[in-house]
Amino acid sequence: MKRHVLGATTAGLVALSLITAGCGSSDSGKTDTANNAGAASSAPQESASAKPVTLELFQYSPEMTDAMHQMAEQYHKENPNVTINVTINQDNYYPLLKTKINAGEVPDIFMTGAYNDNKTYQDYSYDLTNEPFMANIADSAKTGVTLDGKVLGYPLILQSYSFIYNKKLFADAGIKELPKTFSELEAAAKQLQAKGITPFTNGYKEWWVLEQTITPILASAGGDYAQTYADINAGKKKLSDIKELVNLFPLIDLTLKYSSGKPLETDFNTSVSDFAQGKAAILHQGSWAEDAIRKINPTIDIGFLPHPVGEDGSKAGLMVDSNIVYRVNKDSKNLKETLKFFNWLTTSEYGKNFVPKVVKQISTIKDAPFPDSQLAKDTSEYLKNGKTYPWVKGYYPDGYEQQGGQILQQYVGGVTDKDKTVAQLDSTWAKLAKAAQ
Amino acid sequence: MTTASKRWRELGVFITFVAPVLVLILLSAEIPFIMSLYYSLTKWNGISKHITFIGLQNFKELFLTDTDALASFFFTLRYSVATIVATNVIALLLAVVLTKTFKLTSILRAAFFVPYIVSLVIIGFIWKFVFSNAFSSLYEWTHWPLFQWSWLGTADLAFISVVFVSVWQSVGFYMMIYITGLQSIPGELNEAAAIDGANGFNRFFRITLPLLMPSLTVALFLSISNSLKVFDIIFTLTFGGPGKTTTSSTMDIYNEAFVNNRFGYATAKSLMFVVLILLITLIQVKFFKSKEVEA
Repeated sequence: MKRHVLGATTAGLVALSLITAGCGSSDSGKTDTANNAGAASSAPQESASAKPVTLELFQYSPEMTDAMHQMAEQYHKENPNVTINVTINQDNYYPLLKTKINAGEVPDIFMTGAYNDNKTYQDYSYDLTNEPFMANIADSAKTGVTLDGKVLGYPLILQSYSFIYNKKLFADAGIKELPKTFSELEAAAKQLQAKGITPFTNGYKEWWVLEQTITPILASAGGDYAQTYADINAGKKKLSDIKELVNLFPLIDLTLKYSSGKPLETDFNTSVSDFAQGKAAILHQGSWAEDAIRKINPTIDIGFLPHPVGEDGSKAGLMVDSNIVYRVNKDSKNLKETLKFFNWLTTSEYGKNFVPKVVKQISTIKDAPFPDSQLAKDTSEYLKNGKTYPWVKGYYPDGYEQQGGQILQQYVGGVTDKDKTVAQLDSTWAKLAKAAQ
Repeated sequence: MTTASKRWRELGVFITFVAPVLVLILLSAEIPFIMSLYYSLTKWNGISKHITFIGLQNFKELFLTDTDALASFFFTLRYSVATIVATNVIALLLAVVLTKTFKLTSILRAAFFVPYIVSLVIIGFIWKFVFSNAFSSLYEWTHWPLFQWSWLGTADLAFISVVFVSVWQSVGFYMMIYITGLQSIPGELNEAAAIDGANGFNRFFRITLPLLMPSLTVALFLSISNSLKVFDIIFTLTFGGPGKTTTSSTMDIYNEAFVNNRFGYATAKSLMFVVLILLITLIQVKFFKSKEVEA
């Protein structure tokens, strides 16, 4: 009996000491970061020593996994004292990032979107405005990462989206000129259908695909975007006061009318594989989808349609922006090494070739080569000779991308009609804008 | 040994066993709960270093203007009623059948129990595949319109799909609760009733069911709290869609915190949700406890 009690007591004590040890270490962890925050300001003056350093890099975009590991290895080869620890997560990226930040374990480098995320993550983003390497980044890519005149992020990739079309199927159907208006698009769809080709595959299970349908329509309104959306956020105007907004509905109706299958059950992968196999001729997606398409059909011949936004063909354009942004943790104890890494990524031979050759997307660096992919080439064509629009979703209040997409899913599913959808788009905006102030 | 010192020793033993758990619960559940009481009174995006205290604003918004919260709560209620009734009825039926002795009993018990062991996330993905890809293949083969319906893409069908998958997943667990309950009912009672001329129907409703009340209390308590808290299955199967038609309260809270970046408001929502669950389960347990009988 006595021995049992003793055993239990020791077990209890061990458990207790483990717990207190746990508390102790987490407490000391906190003070550590606090100290680092203080030390960070003085860190840049210290010389970059050769002592081993591990940079934590946390990001989404799983399609970049191989590229990221290859790059980290290359950097380690050139700088043996630095190891870049790349962690990639897709499904739960933002909750995980926030948990890390709240636990005081802010990664040295982490990925976010541009525009609104500047504000959300401003307390943790290092101000890159005066870093010499930022001069090599294209100015158009800097707009999205600038908040109150400060450059708070490193735009990595230029992405573009619109309707992607299968050139062979278009030729088979005898479509000579690319459609630029809704009626031309409908005429093209009819021609495709007459040949027994399904025109559209709609990945409307993904709310972001529908968000990508709102954004071009809103971008086509033109004008001073920042001012327009500031007015809407302040409640001076409603979203539906942008008269182009209603063009959304004929476009969605059109894609639904000329498609087969279950739009709200078709996800990114299904729509991409339908398109790649030639089961449908038009896919609403972006430059990031080309890799996935080519994995299924390496020889497919594809290109971007200018995104029709109404009955005015001159307004059709390509959505081009940089929404993949690295942020440097301003309190990082490896700040100096981190900045050195970004300098390398921007100015070294490997760094310049990394995005176009390894990731196979368009780089934001001024003198970087263009990637060898059809959609990227199309994008550069549009940038030179065509019409392009920024992704105005950057001006949406936090959460509106997903909420707006889900409201449109309800329209697609027939749960709500046009008027109700517009009312919901307005009221949700008002609610989220108010919350963001 | 005096009684006093014996009592001290018992207390000592009691504390040694209870203290570690108590400390763990305090650290991992109670303290965060108290912290969330504070966060519910603030405006905070979850990571900013500036937390603004706004008093009861969050609760005011929740009660007066938030239609999304209301819609998702009604969905949760509809979902709960459907799953609780379906799971318990089916589980009870299975339990009654599988307490009879025939060859396949143990294999069938295992078969019904297996889905319960599999992670809900995996089950969500499996059924997503079945509803989308497997069903379209089945349609090409059989041409039954049933397989061509958009089971996850139509509001009403998505509701049925979610309920069906939840019931399929959890029924084995509740079946086990009922089987243990049924096995603890003494056989003589039923035999005596049979001799007195009661038919099978009467024996089940007048003897077996009242004696099964303790199991029923437990099973209902668990199924009520589990179905009100449903998250994983919906997250993986429909992601609350199409639109928001299958968004449960828990998912609404998740979206508020991690999509809309409104941590303070989401905390307020989750607190109200805790209170609601507490009330519902309390009433249920009180009601069913009063119905329990002794053999």
